[in-house]
Amino acid sequence: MQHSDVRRFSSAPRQPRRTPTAGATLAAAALGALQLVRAPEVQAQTTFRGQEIYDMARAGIDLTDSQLRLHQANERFGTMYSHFALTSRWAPGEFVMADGTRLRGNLARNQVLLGGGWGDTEEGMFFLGAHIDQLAAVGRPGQDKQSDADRFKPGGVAQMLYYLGGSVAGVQASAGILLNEMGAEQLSLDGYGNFAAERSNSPRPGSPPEVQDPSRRHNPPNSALFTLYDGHTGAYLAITYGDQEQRLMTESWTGNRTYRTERVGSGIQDLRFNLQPLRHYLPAGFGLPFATIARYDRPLTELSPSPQEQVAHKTTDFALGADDVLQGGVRWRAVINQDGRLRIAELGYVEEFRIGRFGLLFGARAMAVNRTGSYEPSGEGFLKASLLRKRPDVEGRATPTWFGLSGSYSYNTPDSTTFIPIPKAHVVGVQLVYGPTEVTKPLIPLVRAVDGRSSREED
Amino acid sequence: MRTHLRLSWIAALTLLGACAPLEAPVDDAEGASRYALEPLLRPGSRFLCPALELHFEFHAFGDAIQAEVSQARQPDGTQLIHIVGTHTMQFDNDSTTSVFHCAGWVDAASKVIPVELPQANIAPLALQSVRLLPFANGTMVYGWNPNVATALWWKQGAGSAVELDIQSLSGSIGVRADQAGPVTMTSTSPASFQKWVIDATPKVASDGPPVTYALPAGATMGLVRYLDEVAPGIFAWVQSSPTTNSLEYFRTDRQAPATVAFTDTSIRRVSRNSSTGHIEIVASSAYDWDADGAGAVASSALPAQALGYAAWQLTKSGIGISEKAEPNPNASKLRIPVGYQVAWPESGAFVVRDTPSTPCSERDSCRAVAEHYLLGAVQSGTQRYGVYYAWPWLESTVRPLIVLAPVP
Repeated sequence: MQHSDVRRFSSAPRQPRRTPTAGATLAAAALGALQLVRAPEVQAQTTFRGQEIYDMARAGIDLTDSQLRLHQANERFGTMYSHFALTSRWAPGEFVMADGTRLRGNLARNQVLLGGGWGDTEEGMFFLGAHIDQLAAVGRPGQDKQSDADRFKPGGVAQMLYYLGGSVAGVQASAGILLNEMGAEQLSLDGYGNFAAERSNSPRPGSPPEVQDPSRRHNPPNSALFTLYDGHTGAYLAITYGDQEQRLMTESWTGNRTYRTERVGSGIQDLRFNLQPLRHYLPAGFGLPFATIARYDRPLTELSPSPQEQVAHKTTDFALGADDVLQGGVRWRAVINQDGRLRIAELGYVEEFRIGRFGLLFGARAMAVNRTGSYEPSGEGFLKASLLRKRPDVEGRATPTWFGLSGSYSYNTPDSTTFIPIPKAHVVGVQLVYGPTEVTKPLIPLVRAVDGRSSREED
Repeated sequence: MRTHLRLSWIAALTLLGACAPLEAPVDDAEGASRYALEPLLRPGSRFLCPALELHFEFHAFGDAIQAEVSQARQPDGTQLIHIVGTHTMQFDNDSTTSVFHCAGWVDAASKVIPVELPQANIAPLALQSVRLLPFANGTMVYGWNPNVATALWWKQGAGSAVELDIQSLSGSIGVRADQAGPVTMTSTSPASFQKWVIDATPKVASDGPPVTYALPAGATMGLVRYLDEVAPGIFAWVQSSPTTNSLEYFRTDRQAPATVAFTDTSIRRVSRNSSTGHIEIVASSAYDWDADGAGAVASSALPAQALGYAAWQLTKSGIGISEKAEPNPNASKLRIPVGYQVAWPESGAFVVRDTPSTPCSERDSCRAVAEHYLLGAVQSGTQRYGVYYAWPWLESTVRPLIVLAPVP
């Protein structure tokens, strides 16, 4: 099973409904350059609305997923190489403020990874490190300055993980502190969920509990994160343990009730299990197949105006695909919603050129994305240069990169691994990795297919 | 070395980006509730005017809201809607009433254009006294503020209304037959009628000499309820006499008045139906009087209110409103309106229609932004509208919004 992306989309102005087929849209998207050429003229159409950006950030930032990737890299290389990775992706657009005015700026997602270890996964290994994942709303040069008191500093939401762990006989375990800076106030949202210069006002007497105490905008409590990974089966278990929250009510002598959330006691907050064998069980021609079931909140842009339908927020996607089909670097994926709608049709291709230890990797994928009943094109491309180590530290395991540098461009991507899936957004990204590139999420998830092929070749 | 340089460059760029501030207007909270509410409204809904400034302290509470919604049909068919109301708030040991007023123009394309009104210390009595008089070049809001000797003058299509000195307009007031301006009547014997025009200044000026009319023998002046000019030089008025429990209809081209027994003392409005020419009276029931013809009076009593609904409140425009409310579980001194019924006068009878309690497509989404109360209802062409008072939950001061939303 491949870990599912939890996706939410912003409610950018709806486009007139067209009904091109997925194939036609995919073909248009495959041209790639179409969107690249059109980028400047449609750039200003990307709108950032506070609550939607915040919801997408809450859904997309998940360091327990990053920890799984780290364990898998350790298993692959037999040890944890010292590493530092910085991923930064930016999208220009307009922030819609609380009074409806629009301010141009950028939305950025920054991920930092730092870590290292001693020993190997079979005979004994100790490792430690840190992850930071941040979504920030930032200004752009040239904006008029006002006095400090008048400044709107949306800042950013972030999750941080500091961990240490060990491994014996291919079984890795880690423990860490997961810190959340995920409150809506970090993005300067007001009580209505809009970007605002002023903080939220206190609710007046009589307001509903959700207005007084909007749990969907709370910063989740910090946690202790415990992970367990079995390299033989690919089984992964993550448990977060920490404060439990409860909404409490106080009634004044005038009969007014006020609500607030308080932390009461401790316990398991979240439990996650993942199974993803890293070995090939099918003939090589099938590539690396994957299947995904994802249950998530239905994106706002996919909601019908009908109030009855808006109640049913949860929906499920079924995805099937394969990387590196026929060992030719081809990737395909189809995502079908529970309502029978083909949400995403994807075709990708990666190619790698190697001269000695130096490698150059190029990848692109085209998608037809169906959010609101009509298909829209989506395209992504990246270029990555890397330098391999001379030899692996652990005999019989894959040779990691020593250094890697990537750049990417995306349009209208539904992917939330390294950005957030804002419709019509143009996203540029850069990734710099010292150490194995596998430890961090790729800018565009096409790298893994080639890496898989490479490892087989080396095997 | 090159690696470190690149690394430093990327880190510096990211740090710079994370620290760079976005600049924004500092008053965005002023429009926050409006902006939050707007996408939730039913299609065709509009804000009638900017947020009201009630100047209450935020910790005050109370939902005693009264309002009078008036509309004036312009000669071109568009509508001017005017609202005056009161909101009474409770404090620990005190209560304060604030008066609000607001106006908006629904143009030919059904677009609502807010009309800015002068800020003033309005007396609560304005709810009883306000009256809209539509003329060819604008509308007069008469009795907008009993504290002052002015009316509001809204020039057709203008974005604001201005105060108009009407000290010269003594007596009862009505509209001229050519709608060029008002006509006034002094309640003396003989009665004196004077036509007026309102120029572009705007300023009121007399138009021609006054016309006198001697009351028929035995007739006496009563309390003038309505006045108009039915044809050039021919004036008509309706007066009531508490002593005789009757209504009398005089025309200056007739010798004897039309009289009808009328014991309903709670008269709220007397007007003339522009289509039938009948005199319409809104009291505890709605009455239709063929005063120029056979003299027949048809009355339409409001039906019994539905189970769980409060007693009908008849507006000056003759529309009945009944509210169904629940106690607010989070504030014992507040209520939550959960439904309304509106009784529309149609063909001499009231037709009752269920009306949403909020202007939103989805009630809960509306309540997440504000509490809503139906102040009144108006009709423009075949489209009916509810006039809602949206009282936001999150504001530093009490700044309700007035929303005009289509209703069944």
